[in-house]
Amino acid sequence: MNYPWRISRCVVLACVSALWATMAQAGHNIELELGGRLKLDLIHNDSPVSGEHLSRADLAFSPRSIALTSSTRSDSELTARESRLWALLRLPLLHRQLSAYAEIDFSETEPDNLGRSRLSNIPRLRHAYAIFGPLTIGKTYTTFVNLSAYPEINDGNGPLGTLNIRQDIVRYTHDFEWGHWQFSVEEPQTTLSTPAGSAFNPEDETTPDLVTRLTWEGLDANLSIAAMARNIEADSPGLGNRIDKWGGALSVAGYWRLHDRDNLRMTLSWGNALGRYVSFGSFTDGALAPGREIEFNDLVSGFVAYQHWWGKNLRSNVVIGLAHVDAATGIVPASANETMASSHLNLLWSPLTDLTVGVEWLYGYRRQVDDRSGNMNRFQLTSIYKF
Amino acid sequence: MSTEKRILIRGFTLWVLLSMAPQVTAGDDLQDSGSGAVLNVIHSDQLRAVMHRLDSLTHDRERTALELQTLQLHHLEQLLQAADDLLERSEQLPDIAPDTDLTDEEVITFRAMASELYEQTLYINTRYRTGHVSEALQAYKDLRKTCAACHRLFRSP
Repeated sequence: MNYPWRISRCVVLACVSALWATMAQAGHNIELELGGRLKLDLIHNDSPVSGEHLSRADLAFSPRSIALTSSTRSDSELTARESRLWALLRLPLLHRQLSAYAEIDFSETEPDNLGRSRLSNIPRLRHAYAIFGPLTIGKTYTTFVNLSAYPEINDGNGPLGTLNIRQDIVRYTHDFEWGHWQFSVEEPQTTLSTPAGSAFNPEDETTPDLVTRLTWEGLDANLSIAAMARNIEADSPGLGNRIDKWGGALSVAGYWRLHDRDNLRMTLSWGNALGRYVSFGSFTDGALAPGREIEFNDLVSGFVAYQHWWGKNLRSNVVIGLAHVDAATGIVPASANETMASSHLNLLWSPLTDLTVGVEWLYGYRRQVDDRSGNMNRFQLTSIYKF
Repeated sequence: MSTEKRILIRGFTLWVLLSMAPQVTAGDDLQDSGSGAVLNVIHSDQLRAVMHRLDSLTHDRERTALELQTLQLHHLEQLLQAADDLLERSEQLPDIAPDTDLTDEEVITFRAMASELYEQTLYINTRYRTGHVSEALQAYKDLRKTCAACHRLFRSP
């Protein structure tokens, strides 16, 4: 199912490019803007997850990778992989404006010759989408996430409970005076676990994920409620027959300005088809039960973030996140994750509008169905310059 | 008149007006002189809220530049309304704050700055609506200097 989505992404980019060339030739007012950010991270892990090989999880929070056994070894890394470059094109079309946007970072991971993940600096496509009137088409954040609720933290992946998914979407937006309503069809992807403990991605999806979100947007507050319906499907030769099951999820998220510039942000999500949407693939969408039935994972997750401003350019963020799955005993493997938590505490300073430096402490915890657990501590010194 | 000329003329006018108010040039003097506290009477909660919102977008980590620009320009429309209200109230000075000890120069300077804020915000909105988004965003960066200049003179900490 992935290929049609990728082809549609290419078609959008090709159409925008062709349109740009044609209109530039005709002398229309076309704007091209380039920008990005340089992000340099100095990261110290008290208990790295990667063993001998540096892993992506050592550089960006991946709760499923928290080691279950304590290690006496620690490591420090310096990386600029989360730097980004973007290009934005605006051109008039049919008395409206067409905006096309593409953004890359350098966080791609590639397997080494033994199939293990290996860090590289290969560019990775983060966004590639176009907006024309109420329509958004291409790869960007899922409609299920409310980015107003995203906290300001140094870690690139965000706290537990973040709905940090970017995928191919076709979205319709209707604006009201008080906010907006959105509906989208999005790229589907199923991940199932087996009682033996393995997880697999059948890549057999035929029905897109259906997502809708209603957002109330005020100057001092933002509140949204989102709903999602997914058809979890599998039709691989190993299973013998086609199986599918509909599930859903809800999410409430928001931002409130409290006193002066202090603010509170939160996201709370729950449902039986949240799976891959939560916390960077830490949970599967369901389990394959004996008899070839799909059993959903009932999942609840969320975070609360408070930002306090110490002065004009100095602020701190404290973020606490949690995710818990109500695993079906006997069907979900004992090695599956059951409860995970995270906390972030940072101090950030912006001497210039476009420059921020800061230090952050991250604590992560995870517990499996079989009650084995592990935790991690990370210190991250970051500087970001936007241009 | 070209954009550059207009900006130069505005800058010069502002500089002349600022030089007319030497007694409030030091930020620490504001509270002692009473001028800052006085002019806090002429403030706008909406203006402050819009500026806080725009500030928070400056530090946003995950939104794309396209989303940020769209949101900034949306809030600029609210800023235009707030600037209009502020300008209207500044023109009613000193009648709406009779207990203050504003000098004539301070009143003139405050009105000029409120007018400058309105003019710049109007310019940004006009450029945006006519499809010149990059120019609108550049003008927004300049607008922040006007905000800072006014706060330095007239806003109590």
